[in-house]
Amino acid sequence: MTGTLSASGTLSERTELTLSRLEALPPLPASAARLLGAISSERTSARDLIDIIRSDPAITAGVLRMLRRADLGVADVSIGIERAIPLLGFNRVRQVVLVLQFLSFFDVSGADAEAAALNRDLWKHQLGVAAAAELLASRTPLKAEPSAAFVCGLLHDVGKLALLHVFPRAYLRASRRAENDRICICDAEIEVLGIDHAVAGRRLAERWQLPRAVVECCRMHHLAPGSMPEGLGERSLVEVVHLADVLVRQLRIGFSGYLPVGDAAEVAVRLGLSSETVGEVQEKLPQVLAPLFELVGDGAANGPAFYSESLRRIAREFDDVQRELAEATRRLELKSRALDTLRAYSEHVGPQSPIADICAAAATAIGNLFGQAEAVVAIVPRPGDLVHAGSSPAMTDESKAVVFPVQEAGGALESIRTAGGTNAAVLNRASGGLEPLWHRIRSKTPHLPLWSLDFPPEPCFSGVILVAADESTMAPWGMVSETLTAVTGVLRSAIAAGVERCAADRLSDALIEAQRRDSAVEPERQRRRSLNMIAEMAAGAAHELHNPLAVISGRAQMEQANAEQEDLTRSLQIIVDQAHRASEIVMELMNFARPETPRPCVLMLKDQLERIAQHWRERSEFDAEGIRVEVADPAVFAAADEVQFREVFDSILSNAVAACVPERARIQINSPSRASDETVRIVVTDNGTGMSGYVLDHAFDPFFSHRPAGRGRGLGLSRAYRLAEINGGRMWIDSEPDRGTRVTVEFPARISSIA
Amino acid sequence: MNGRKPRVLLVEPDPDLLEILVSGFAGRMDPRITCVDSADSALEVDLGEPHDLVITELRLRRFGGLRLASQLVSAAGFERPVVLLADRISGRRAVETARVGVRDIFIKPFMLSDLLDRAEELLEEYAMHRQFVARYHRMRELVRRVIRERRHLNHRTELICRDLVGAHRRLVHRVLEFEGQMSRQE
Repeated sequence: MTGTLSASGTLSERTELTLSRLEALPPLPASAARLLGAISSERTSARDLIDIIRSDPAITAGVLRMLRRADLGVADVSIGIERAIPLLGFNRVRQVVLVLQFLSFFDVSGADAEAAALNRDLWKHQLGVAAAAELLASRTPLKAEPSAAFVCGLLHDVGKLALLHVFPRAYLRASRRAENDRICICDAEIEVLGIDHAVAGRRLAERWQLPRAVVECCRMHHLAPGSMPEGLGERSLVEVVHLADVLVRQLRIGFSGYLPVGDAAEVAVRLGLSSETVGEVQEKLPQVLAPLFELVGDGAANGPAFYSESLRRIAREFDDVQRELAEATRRLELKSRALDTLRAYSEHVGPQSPIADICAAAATAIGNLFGQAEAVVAIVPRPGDLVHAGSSPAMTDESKAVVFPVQEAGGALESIRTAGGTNAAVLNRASGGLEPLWHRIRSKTPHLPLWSLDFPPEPCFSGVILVAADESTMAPWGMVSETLTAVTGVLRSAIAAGVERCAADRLSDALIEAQRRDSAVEPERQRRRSLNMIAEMAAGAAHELHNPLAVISGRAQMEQANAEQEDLTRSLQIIVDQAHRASEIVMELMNFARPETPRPCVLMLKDQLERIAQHWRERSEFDAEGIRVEVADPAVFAAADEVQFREVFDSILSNAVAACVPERARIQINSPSRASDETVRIVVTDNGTGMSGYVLDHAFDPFFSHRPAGRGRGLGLSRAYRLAEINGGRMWIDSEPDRGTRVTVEFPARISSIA
Repeated sequence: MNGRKPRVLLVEPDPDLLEILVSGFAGRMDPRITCVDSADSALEVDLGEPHDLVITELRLRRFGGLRLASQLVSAAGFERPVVLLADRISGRRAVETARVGVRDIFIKPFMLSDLLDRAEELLEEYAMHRQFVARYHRMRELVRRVIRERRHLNHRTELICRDLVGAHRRLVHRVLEFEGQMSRQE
């Protein structure tokens, strides 16, 4: 009746299966039932007992084996069963028969050797508890019957036997699990089989209608005396069995599954027994048990050798515990080293440290972590292609911080850029491509194997940690990988903060610079803005004026046709003339406000300036000396709209001519060699009256004219300024009263993409 | 054509200016003047009765005087004179108007007499142009008729020739027949 309990079924499925198998066990043999029943009464006769023994060959063999034990002094091999009772005692024989009956019932000879061994060990435990319970019962003041105690002790773990019998391999698994992982055997049983041995035992005992005491013992033998429920019928028996169980476990007699228990002596005291009693029982136990062990085929040991197996077990357990302790100590040591490292690291970097210094401190920390090893931390901030790196101090050199372009890192670029895919720190042998990186930073090749430790992923940089160390230094760190992750996490945060801070610094510097430049050109921008505003306003107004002026002029003309008096005709003519003049002003305003889009072409400066000068010579009637042109390099060109270029200089010269006294006028038009590759410069100097500070400030203002009212309209220089501007150039004036005026104009030297 | 009154179309939204133009024309010549204040009405009116001269404001709402001008110039089949009145005109724009076919641009304010002189010129020119065109058409018509007649004549000549040739053949045939008869009788 074996089957397999698959590890993949659900808990309830397994429970169901186990329970059904238990239900399927055959009922108790009648003789066993009789024996059990008769234990409480003395009415079983010796004759009945002999009959029972004779009825089952296995029982016969077992009894005979006991009889032939050497210490019974029975040399005669032909001794018969009839001698059993006189030799062993009625009670003892009865007990032996019971044991043999149950042994044969829970027969695991069909299963493998491991199951058979476990079965034997379980039986040894049960026998131990039975014997101990019998011994204790006779000493306890609680009035427990010794033979009843024996039976209860024998069957208290019948659940285990049943489970092993029903599912041997699964039970083996459960007991192994309990041993290896140090969990209570009951929990392991539930995990693997769905129910524990207490429940199994109770159900079986109830089904077999075993005495109530046995049922209660099966269920409650684990409970500490204080926590047993009230109303327990055979409380004293249960307590005795519990104490016996604790004692036998303490002595490591047999095997009973992992279960941490307290001290037997303490439990005894709580039950009202003295610790000496426990000691006495302990001494007597081997004597009683040795013959009983014969029944399970292991009666060879007696005397001091009885406990040899127990001692072996204890020694093994002790070794395990020691090993665990050593490991835990090692782990703790590594973790505390990591903490020290981080503390030292945080003392070495401050909030203003440059990235490379942070890397150097990180490398030093990492080096300390791995026992003063040589280490290197290299990072590449994103975006960017500079490597910031630091190295730990070694025997001969100090800690170093370097910055270099990514190209110098050799083939390590890809490794750095793609490193750090997972969140956990991974310690690996470094790939070959990282050696050049090490070399670049430390300026020498590593003497020990290189290991790499990645940073957890981080959007603002990618980086790698390299350590030179041998296998034995690195191996233990595999145990405490979370510590390594924590360390790299801290370093990563510090480096990320450094990178972000650098970026922020750069940004703020750029902002300050932009602001400075901005404030420098503010006055210029003010002027341009006011000019634009005026221009727009003027254009808007001018637009509307044409029609009214046309009506004024037209009406006056119409009336002129009818007028007869000369005065009237003349008046009307004046009206017409003024209307036309007003329109001219309006036209000028509009031209000023919205100049035509320049169509730049390449102009030869010499030609253009000569022509302008000649025109003004004729117009002003100054002599050749009065207006002179000097162009340093005849091959100098400007890019501008031709008409507008001319207009600019017309305005300038108009002012220059007006400012000079005709006889002594000296107007000079120069073009020195280029101001720069992008612009040409033309300077117009005159020796006229010059401008006062006030006039100079307002020279480019529209409608500002210091000439008498009625002459000129004050738009000339404003327009010139605007035209120069829209052609991609600029214009400015230097002047002092009575010292003349210098007007400088710049134009682009090339037709580029002028906006 | 000749002798009829010239028809002038004025497109001007400003009523004051319009009045000046109308009285100006009235004083000088005596044309039939149509006044409209928008491009749409201008096109509509001209469609009904093509005018001999159009004077239009450049800045018209929604349509634009230049576009109107380009449509009117070619609407009647031959180029009509159109004159623009403008606030100002840039060089480039002026070139564009010439390409479209505008004959002149007057910047406001202008001398009315100048405008009226030019109007007279253009009307005269247009009248002559129309006459010339008419004569040209007539001549073309005549030439066509001549060609038609000649063709007809050729055709008739050909028919007569064919008849003659046919008759001649028949005659020859008869003669031969007769000769044959004659020889047989011998």
